[in-house]
Amino acid sequence: MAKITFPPMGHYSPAFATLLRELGHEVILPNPPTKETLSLGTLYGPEFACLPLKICLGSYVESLERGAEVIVTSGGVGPCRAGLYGTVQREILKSLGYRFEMIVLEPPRRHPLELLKALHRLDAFRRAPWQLVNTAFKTWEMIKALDRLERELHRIRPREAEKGSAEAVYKRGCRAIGAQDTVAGIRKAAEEALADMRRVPLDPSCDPIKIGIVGEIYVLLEPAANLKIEKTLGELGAEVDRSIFLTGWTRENVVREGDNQTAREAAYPYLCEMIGGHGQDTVGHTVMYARQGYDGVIQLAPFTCIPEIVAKGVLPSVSRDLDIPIISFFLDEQTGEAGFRTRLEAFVDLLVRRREQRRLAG
Amino acid sequence: MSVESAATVKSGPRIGIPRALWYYTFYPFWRAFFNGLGASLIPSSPTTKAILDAGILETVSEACVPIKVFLGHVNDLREKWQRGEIDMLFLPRYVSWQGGLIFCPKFLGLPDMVRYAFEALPPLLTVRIDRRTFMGLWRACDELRSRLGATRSALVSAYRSALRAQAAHERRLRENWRPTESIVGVRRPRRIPTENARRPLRLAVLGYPYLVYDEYVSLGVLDKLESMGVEVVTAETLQAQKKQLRHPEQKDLFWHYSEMVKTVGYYALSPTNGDIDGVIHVTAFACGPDAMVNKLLELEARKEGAKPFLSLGLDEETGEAGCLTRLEAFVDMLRRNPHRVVR
Repeated sequence: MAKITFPPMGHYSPAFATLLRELGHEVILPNPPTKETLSLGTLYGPEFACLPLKICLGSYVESLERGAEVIVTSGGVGPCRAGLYGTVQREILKSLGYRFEMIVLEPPRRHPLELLKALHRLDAFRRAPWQLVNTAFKTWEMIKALDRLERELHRIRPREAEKGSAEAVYKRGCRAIGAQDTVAGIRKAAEEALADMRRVPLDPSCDPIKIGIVGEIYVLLEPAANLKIEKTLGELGAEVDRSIFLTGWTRENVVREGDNQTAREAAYPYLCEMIGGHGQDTVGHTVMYARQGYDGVIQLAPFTCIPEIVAKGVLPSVSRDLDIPIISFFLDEQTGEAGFRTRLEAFVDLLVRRREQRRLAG
Repeated sequence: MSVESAATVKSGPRIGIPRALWYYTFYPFWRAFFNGLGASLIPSSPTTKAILDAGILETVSEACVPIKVFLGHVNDLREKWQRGEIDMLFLPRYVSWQGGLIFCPKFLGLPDMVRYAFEALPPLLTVRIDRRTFMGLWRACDELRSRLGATRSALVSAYRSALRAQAAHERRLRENWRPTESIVGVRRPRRIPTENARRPLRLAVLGYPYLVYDEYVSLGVLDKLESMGVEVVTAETLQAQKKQLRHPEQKDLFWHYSEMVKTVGYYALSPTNGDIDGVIHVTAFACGPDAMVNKLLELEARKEGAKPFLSLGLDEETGEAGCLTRLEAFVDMLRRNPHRVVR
């Protein structure tokens, strides 16, 4: 049994914590990243590494200071840099004098042995197989519940009568879901939270524009990285659909609605190579949002993110071909909240006017 | 130059190739291959300010300098095409050349980025090169052959001579030829003055070939060092010491050029190798893979007994004077080091 921590990622922390706790570890829950977290990461990390590396690095430093002995993180085989972050962060933290162990979970297809070794280090095989299945199932259920609740929040927020009321219900719901330790409990808490959410008083006159958010997974999922873009947009009166959730719930949804196309297939005419990260998904989701009649698309990516730069190079032609406004944001530690908000406001204004003109034109 | 002008006499299609990115590593291969098929390969002009500026104009602003340079060269070839000097543009999608290693995602998406950056482009000759698949290179070459309308029999000899040319090119690089010299087949004599019975300083200049060997972008860092009386070795040359290059506990980087620079860098920095006095890592501003490579080398350079290390970041704004000052300071520092091994 070791004190174990993991990278912060949006609202999923309780789910990961449940998983590790059930494997018999003491969990040091990563604090929600703050400006200080990012400063630490920027100080110690490579200058041109992307925001996710810096936020995670800063968070590891904070968790190690709070007594963590083991860090669990994900690996990868490229071409995105994230596959090397475990290695680089371990070297950096070692050079800072921290003593810890880093367990990197590699993808099973290319590194099956490494994955088994890592799982062994996590004591996964001391449990009976059915217990493992149960734990995995429970974690999955929790992630699913959290995602459902967040999607509902995105739908309600622009329509709420009193600003901030949906957010309060959402936070309460997240806490309730995180506190459960049975599948039935999670389901019940999720249903209750969803019901609460639907009882939030709405403004009937509201007619929000619809914006799709595409881009790199970490900056999409971690509010500290994207400066709470969904909240800002929701308060500006835009309904947000985020292309990536951990459960891939959206993807199924989109597939069901559309012509059974995956993001990758939709991207194919524009970008036919798997360029790593979420570059291809960014292009594909943009195509799908355009076809579903969204008013606009926002691309979010960390500064210097290689796949997203390639995607950005391709997006203008998607915008031209399918007639959909797209704005790209490359985020880093220098991104100021006020400037970001101003640009979002301008984009939303543009979309509203554009929709009005189209309606007038019939 | 002689080879190129001889090739243009032939009547086959004239194919333009950008003098950027993989040019320095793979040009001899493609020259031999296309010549074998009766076509001629015409590189764009060496990088100039005008080429870089055109590239900056056409590329997404977040991209790194090498990509901007590449698009600048594509623009140069586009103008050549408009003047009727070339017939098509060779734009392969380099995915993997060596088993297990892939190229930077920007290489992977390059043909798409080029296609959407320009309005009028010459006919593109693109092919996906992935040697992880069965006979990947042969099949890519076969595809190119059929696009050019050459016969199968010509393919066999063209393919073989291309492989031979590539092997010869790599051998010359290991013998410390510059790619530019190896491509024309003439090595410029180098005279490094010895300083009072001490052997000249020997520095490893590591970085991606498209940065280190592009004289305009790298601000002629190799020549500058040589004119200071420094003997320069590059990553390609040091790769000859392949056996000593593995670092035991590290996960391999998965990018082609980065893995080379990292392994060679660890070797050059290690206290046990006696004949390298310092390491200069040439890196492009906002280069994704280099953020990793540079940090790993930097951490290695902090270890006990490691060789002195200078990281030289370049971008389109880098001033020549500032760069020279940093190089001079580094060289002076090394010259004053009393512990330097005397030959």
